[in-house]
Amino acid sequence: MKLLDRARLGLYVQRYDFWLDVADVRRRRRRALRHELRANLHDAAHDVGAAVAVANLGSPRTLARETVGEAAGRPARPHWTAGGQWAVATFVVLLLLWTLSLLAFLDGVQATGATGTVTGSVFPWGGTVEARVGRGLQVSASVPVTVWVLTLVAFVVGSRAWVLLTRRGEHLTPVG
Amino acid sequence: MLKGVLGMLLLRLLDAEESYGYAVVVRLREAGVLGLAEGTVYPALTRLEGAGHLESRLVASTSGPARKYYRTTPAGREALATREASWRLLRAAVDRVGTVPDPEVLR
Repeated sequence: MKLLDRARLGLYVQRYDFWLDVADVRRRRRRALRHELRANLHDAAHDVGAAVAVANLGSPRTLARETVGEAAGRPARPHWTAGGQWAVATFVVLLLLWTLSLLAFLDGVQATGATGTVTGSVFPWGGTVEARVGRGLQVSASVPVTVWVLTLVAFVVGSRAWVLLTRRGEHLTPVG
Repeated sequence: MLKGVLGMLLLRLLDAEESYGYAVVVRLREAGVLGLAEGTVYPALTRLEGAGHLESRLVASTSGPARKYYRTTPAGREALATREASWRLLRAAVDRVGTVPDPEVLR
């Protein structure tokens, strides 16, 4: 089988697996369904070609929905708790990195022997740091907006909040 | 295809002979079930197995990944008998609908 055909079949199986995951199918069950589909696709591709074999299966989303039956017709629920955990972990890690880069910035300011007000931006960027060097060292900084944005992204990804959008999807009656 | 007919065909086919997804599709097409897509048959097999009407086992293949072979269970045979009875009733009803009444009977 050509590399392109293998890629086409592999991509279809991965898309199928994605929709099984969205439908809350457990990992072990998904693996079994993937293996079965891969074996069938392999035989069909040898018979009629990879493109036709994939076309005969239709949309991977519909296939996943019909495979799991009614449960797949009901979109999966978001995992808010998991999302919260991901958000907290991301926030803590980013805050730690921001603090470390802030300290590195201040070390740099002191190492150059600069006086007066020095401003700059530190990882993960998106905010400014101001250091006033005189008799002592005064620092003013606020948590960069990037930290909040990445925390929000972690929450959305971790909770799979997008499955709320699939709740508006149509319900299909399985045949058979 | 009418709801339930595909399930009946699958139970009937797999009662006669153990087989796997793609081979089942080929067998049904050869039997004259046209317009049948794999995307319809595979989920139906999974649902019938989930309902306990089919059982399965993995068989290694020399030409590719291991295949999942299905076979009709005793519960599947009972379901098949029910579905076949419904099918016979439906077919008899279809045969009766639209036929020209015998004038002798009307007299």
